[in-house]
Amino acid sequence: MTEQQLYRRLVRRSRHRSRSGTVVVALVVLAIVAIYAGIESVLAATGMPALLVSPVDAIDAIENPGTPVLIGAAVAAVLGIVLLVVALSPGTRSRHELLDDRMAVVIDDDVLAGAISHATNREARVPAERISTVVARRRGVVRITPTSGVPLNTASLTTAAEQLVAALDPRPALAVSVSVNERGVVGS
Amino acid sequence: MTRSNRIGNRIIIAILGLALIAAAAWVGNRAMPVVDVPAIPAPPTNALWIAAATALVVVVLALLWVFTRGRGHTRTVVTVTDDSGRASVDARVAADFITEDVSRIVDVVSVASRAYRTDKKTVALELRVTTRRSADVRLVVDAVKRAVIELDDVLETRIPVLLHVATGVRASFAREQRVH
Amino acid sequence: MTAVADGARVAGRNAVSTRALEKTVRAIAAHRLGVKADAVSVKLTDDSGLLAVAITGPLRMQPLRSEHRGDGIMTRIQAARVAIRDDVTTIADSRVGLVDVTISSAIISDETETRRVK
Repeated sequence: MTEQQLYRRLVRRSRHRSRSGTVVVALVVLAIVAIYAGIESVLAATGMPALLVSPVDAIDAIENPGTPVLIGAAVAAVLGIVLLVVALSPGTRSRHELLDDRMAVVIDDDVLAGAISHATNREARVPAERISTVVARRRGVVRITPTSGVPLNTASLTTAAEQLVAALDPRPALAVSVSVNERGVVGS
Repeated sequence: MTRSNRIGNRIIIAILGLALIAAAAWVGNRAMPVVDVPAIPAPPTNALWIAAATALVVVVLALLWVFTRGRGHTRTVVTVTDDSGRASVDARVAADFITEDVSRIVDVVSVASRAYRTDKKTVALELRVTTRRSADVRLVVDAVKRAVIELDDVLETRIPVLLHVATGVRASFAREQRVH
Repeated sequence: MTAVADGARVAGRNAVSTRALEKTVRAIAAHRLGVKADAVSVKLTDDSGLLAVAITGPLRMQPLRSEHRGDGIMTRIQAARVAIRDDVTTIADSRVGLVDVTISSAIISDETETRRVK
């Protein structure tokens, strides 16, 4: 595999969740349940009293379900659906790739958004709580709430944001825009 | 994590999900009969032993999958063999070097490193770096790159490196170094 | 037995236990790698009559951005291997065959290599 192909693979790998976390939790739970079921089976097979619920009682509870068992079944159904969704959903992580010739670089969209906010705010100079950026796959939107009486030049703010994005050059390419709130906040 | 591992994970999760749904459907069917299914008979002793054996197999397989999570033996990054013997360097060495250097970069809050095998012959290094909120990302990435280039020099070989500039939230993997 | 005059031969054998030899080789390796002896592990085997030495341990190295960084790691390991071979031959009085060194981690320190006596 060439170095380039390897880097492609490293980046692609970090794009999607591996689902190892979920699998480990699920399998550990399964193992615990299986150990318990195994113990009950052996106890019943050797004619000894059950630990909690004997296999016969368990089968009876399933075949003639009372309310608690029905509730349990409903919970199981919900869990089952959740697991199916987890198994089938792509699990894309919100990240972008930054191009580099030596390393494969990925950046969390949160961090990217923060950097864009910060760069834009060097121009806007509003308190940090009044500027926020949302980064999607191909678009970034910076929202600013100005200080009353202090107008903001959207064009120069957009330039500041675009310069930061150009310096980082993320992939997929990010088109960034700045939206200044019509209502301001008095004082700063 | 190999590609087949990832697909395997999803298959296992899907099977477990379907099993839960099936069990719930069975119970539901008993409460409000939709399909006519014979009742489960009281199990004879044989069946109980078979059930216990099956349970054991399930436990073993489940724990096996869980413990093969280790991303393959990530060890040697460089080896030189000659008549007088062999000199090998573990991936951990690369991680130690780069972590020490990157944690000194000004805006870096923490560095964590992990080595894993990407294919039969290559070991890659993943660096997870958390930066301060006000950090200049470009500068940090460039500083890490300079460190990696120095590492290439010291190691006398190039290791594939993945740099992940991350938010501070998640739990860390081993060998995380917190700075300021 | 009764005491014997100086210079006379004393009955008995020099039996160097494997443990003692391992300890010696570990100390030698630790010195050459610039680390503590307890961080180093050593495996001694026979290599067609010669003593084959396999060493695993950390290596003391300068930080990446140090001004006086010195040689690259492979060069350092090669030098250490040669020195270890010589030391073991002299100190442990053994004919040495293959010497394998595996560096498991790096002890990053700005000190120039100091001798650790422990």
